[in-house]
Amino acid sequence: MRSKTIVLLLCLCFAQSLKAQPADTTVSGLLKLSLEDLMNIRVVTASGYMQTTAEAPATITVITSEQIEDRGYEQLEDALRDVPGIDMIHINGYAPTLFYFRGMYGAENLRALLMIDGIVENNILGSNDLAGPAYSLHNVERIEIIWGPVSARYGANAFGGVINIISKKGADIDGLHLQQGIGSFNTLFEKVLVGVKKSRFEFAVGATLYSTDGPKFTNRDPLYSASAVDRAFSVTGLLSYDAKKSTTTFGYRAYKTPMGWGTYANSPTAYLHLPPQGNNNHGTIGVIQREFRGEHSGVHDPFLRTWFLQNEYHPTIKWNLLSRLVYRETGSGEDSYIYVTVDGRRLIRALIGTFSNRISGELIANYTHSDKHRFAAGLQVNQDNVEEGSRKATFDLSTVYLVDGRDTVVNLRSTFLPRQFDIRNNIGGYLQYSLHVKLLGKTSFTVAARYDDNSYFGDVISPRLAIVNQPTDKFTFKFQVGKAFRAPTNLEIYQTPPTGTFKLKYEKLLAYELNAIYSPSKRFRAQLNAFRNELNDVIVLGNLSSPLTPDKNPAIHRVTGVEGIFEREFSKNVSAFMNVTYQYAWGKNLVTGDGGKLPAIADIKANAGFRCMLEDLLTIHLGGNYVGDRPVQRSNPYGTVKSYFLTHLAISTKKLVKDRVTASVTVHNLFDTKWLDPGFRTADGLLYSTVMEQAGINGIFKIGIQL
Amino acid sequence: MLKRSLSLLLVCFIAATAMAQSRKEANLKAVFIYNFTRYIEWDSTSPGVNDFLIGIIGPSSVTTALMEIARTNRVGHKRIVIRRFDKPEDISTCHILFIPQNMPFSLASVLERTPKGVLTVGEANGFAKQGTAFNFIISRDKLKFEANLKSLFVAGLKVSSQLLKLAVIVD
Repeated sequence: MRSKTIVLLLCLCFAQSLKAQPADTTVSGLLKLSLEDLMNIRVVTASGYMQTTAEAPATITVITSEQIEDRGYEQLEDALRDVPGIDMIHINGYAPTLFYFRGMYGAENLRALLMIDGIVENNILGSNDLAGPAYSLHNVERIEIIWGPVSARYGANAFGGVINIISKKGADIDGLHLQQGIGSFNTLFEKVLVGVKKSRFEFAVGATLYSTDGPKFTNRDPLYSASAVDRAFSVTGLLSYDAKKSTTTFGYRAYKTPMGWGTYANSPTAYLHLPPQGNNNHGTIGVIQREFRGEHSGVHDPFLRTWFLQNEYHPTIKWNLLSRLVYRETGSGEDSYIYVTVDGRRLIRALIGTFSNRISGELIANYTHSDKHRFAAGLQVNQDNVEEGSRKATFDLSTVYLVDGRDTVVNLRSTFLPRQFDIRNNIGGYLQYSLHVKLLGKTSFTVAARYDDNSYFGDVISPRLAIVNQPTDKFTFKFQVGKAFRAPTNLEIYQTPPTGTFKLKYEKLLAYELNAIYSPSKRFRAQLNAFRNELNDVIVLGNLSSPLTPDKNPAIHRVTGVEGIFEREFSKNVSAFMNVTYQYAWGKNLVTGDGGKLPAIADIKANAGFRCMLEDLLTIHLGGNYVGDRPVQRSNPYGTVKSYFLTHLAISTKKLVKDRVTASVTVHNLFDTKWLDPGFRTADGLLYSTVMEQAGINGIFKIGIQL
Repeated sequence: MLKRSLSLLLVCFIAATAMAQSRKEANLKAVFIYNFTRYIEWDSTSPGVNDFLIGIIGPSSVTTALMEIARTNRVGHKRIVIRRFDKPEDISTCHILFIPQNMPFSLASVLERTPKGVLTVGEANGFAKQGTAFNFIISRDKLKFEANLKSLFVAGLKVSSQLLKLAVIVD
């Protein structure tokens, strides 16, 4: 009996020791691991875990630079595609993509903040352009997506979420990196990144140049070319100086994306004597989508430029003070134009241009009194000099020009009228307190509120509460509730009927969220998010229900949803992720009483990815995106837009040739699936398309050199 | 005879496992120490700027692992040099001072002879509370480290918040 016991003990010891040993606990093996990984290695053979579960009082998705490389993400949209909770409409020009956070359809690209290193990047005027090919990810250390309403911290428009891009700093870059890419649709791009940290100085400079003919949607026009991007570029630069207790940084970034209008509107097939483009679209009213008069069919040329100077001061280990001055310029370049016909007989060449600027100052203080009490406070002052809607221009319909002896066009000599602008001031201040106690394991309570006073829409208070409980190291539960607001943009303000003192109200959001996270180790995470968004005073771009009344805040939206997220790292070489979203998005126009499901929002969506590394040489990532059936506007005769599943493949090499050269191939829509996105705005087939055609199989080959 | 052999085998196995665990723990601590250097900034005017100096007071199993790291790695562009101090009076300027659990001196005698600007790292319960900047502890079978913010501040070291997030903060 005793022998059996000893044998059993031996077996148990052996099995346990096998189970407990990580693959390689030699010094060289351990040196390959991150600090977080090291903290997960058991040093005695027993059960139990120690981990660094995210304690943040918010729901945060992080996309790392390694994931960006492995998954073949080239621009922001690629990365957001695999994230649960974001619906998209691809216009292949103009915006060029519309993003909707957690079912909040409408307000094109206006209900989410895009930030770079904590500074807002959205267009000041509030036009719809967001991201696009100039927003390359080659200089990105990570992308943080903070879900839900965070107006309590960031003020206006932190409505559905905040996308914060953290850029690579000099020490991260440490040298010169060059990338050259070539792909389908005559796509060509170059990317440069140079950075170094030397003594107390650190600098990083990045630049990109991107051109493409874009996909061809020949049902609209056999000569379709409206998805071209013509030398879009970005330039980013950071220069930092580390003093003993502070870091001072000067930064500059500029993005410019001259591109076509894509499928923004219908093709004027009647004018071109072409068959209708199909999908219940008419061809009388439309925007020309082929080269015309020796120039592109149209150009939309958004630009965004930012200069900033900031100082991070750490007088003691408990204090952290950030002061920042920012100057920004955004708009549509004066080279923007569009050829539009409203009668199917004559084209009008219309100029489009806007320019707005902002100067802002910010002071943020973080104080860690102890492990138990943490405080944060901030003050932010903005002054916007913002264009009164779109720039007005001369309009001459009487002088008719003949092109090719047939095509008639008017307004060819249009010029801009003097810029009209408004000054909008905003002052905001916030306070946040976090209490961390040992209650039911570990629990933290975070309360925050921000007060904004705006010269147009008045004052707003945005409160927020988050409770985070970790009963064990494996489980985290969160409850969050908060209010947020979206400020009316100057474009929206100038689309309201001119009725004296009428003012648009800001949109209001009340959001609730529950999260349950199970993460027994850094290599496995299962998460369930349940959310509800209640939007009131929703601004409608063109209030079809009552165009003669000034009520442009007529609607309410209600979105309820659940997200499931699973991430598993099976070994250093193999990992996988999957996320599934179910949501029900409903809205009602309180003026007309019409209500129903919100258009373009799928009830069910899912994303999955599988990564494996072969022989420490190749990384292969296979990803898939499923979007379920999507309802359309009541005005859209097309009906429900069918579901689709797209597959993407990315193959990249590790660093070759003395660790200096990498190569990658990325293929989108691997099986050449035919898929459509619902039309936006009225989508009634007159001016705006009922549906938007999308690209088939396409790919990019990229080579990178590090010097 | 069989029982005795099996018992001997069991004892040997447990001893071997314990030794392996001890070696693993030492390797882990050494790699932790090396990782700390990525998150901490030392005053560049400190003496010995040509090399990165890691001192160890008395004998320790961590020394071998640290020497292995020093052979193939650098801190920034600096070569890593491991120095052993036999007694507190021998302590000279270095960037990191590792204070083993079993050293035959009082912690106070070591700390009072440690110059400013040195990151002190201990490995015994209570060391951080008594004044070392960092201290290794075992929690739920895994290696964690405590950080004494006051000691870090007094030492004049700039520590990344990323590192402090992982630490158990003691006052």
